[in-house]
Amino acid sequence: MTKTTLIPVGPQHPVFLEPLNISLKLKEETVVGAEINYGFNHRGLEKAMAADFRRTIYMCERICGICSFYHSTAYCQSMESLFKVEVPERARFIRLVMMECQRLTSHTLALGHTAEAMGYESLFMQLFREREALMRLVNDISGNRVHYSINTIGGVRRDIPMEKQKEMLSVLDGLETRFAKLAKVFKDDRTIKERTIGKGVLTKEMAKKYCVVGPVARASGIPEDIRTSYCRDLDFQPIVRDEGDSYARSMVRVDETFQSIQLIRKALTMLPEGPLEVPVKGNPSGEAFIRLEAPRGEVIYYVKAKGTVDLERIKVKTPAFVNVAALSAMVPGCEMPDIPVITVSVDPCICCTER
Amino acid sequence: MSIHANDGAIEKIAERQSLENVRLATIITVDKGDGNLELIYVLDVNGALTSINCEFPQDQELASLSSVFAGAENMEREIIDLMGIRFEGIRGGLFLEPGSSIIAPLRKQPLGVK
Repeated sequence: MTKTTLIPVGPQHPVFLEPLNISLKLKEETVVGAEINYGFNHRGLEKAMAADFRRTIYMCERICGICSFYHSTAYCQSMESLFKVEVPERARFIRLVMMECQRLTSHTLALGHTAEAMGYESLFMQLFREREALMRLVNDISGNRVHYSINTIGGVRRDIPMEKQKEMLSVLDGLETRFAKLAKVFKDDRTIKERTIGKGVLTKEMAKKYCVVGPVARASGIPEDIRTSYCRDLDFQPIVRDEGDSYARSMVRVDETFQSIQLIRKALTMLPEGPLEVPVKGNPSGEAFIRLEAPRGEVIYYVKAKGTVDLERIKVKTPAFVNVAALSAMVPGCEMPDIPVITVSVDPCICCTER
Repeated sequence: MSIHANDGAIEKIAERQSLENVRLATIITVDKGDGNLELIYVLDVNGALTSINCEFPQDQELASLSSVFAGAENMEREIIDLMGIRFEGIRGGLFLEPGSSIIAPLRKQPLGVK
């Protein structure tokens, strides 16, 4: 009879960028069970964010460095709903452009990280070279690389003038051409395929059970993307695959990268003239639910206010919180050396998970 | 007869799940400040958000939704840690270390440190 061995992977592990622990149960090299543990980095931000709604916008961008703009946009939209104001169309489009730029930086990071986990250092470096061009682009527009800080309740604080739009389109043209070559590596390279195809499969039924969202859900055949509602004027269709394995999760991100470039192009073409923000005065009251499609999936902001500067409750649902937990359904039956690649293919984000 | 204050909500969710395309988006808890807590199950039903609420006294144990959605377990573990609500068969300790952390920090009056 084969003995069961318990192997802790993490919280400190070379392949994890942040603290995450997977307690694996192994029979020889095969995983027969896993428990996912996090909570090593909890910051209690929901409590802090409720202290003063005017400062929350600063704090919510600090929840995560990869999807910071989504957090501030969702928060601002929640407050705009409470104040019953409609943001100008130009501001709505600028938010959309910046969100898609951040999706590009996030997906190139996730793909680079996956390449690194497979030991494909040159692919990792080339993806990060492309990501750096994007980081410089968003820095040129917003003045910041990570926390753009251009959102405000009622609109945005920075415009994308015509010369910046041209510069943006030129950077995206170059990126699209170079990224097509890297996408071909992801799609066709034999080593990548052997490390990812059929590994860490999450079936559609299990994906529904675990309530996963974003590229993880879409790679398991669930056609859910919140952009279907707020990008409807840009002719948006979600990218869906059926395999549910690490390869499908990476390929959804690869295809979404091209899709984001197209969305930015369309949004810039349709960018209407007009003001950037509307004034908002007083204190909020009421209850609001807002959701957006962040790079890792659905972000929900629930805000309950009572007409004072402090908020009754602010709750942030992040996609990584549900996606990371689904690892326990993906790894049984896999071999120990596949665990890092499977974990990274979920694009775990502990900053979001633990807030 | 209902034993837990949220039995009705869980039944409703299970029933909807069997008939429609339902995903549990999140579970929200709010301290009402009058000794009662509110639990809001947020569901994505065919692409639209909908919520099922229930209110209950703060010392009451609730039923777990993890038999319907496995993804609910960690959401409930988070609520145990941050709001001090008990769920049958679910343990806390996801975010806060039991025995050495503040208890229920998201309550209006946190329960202190053990």
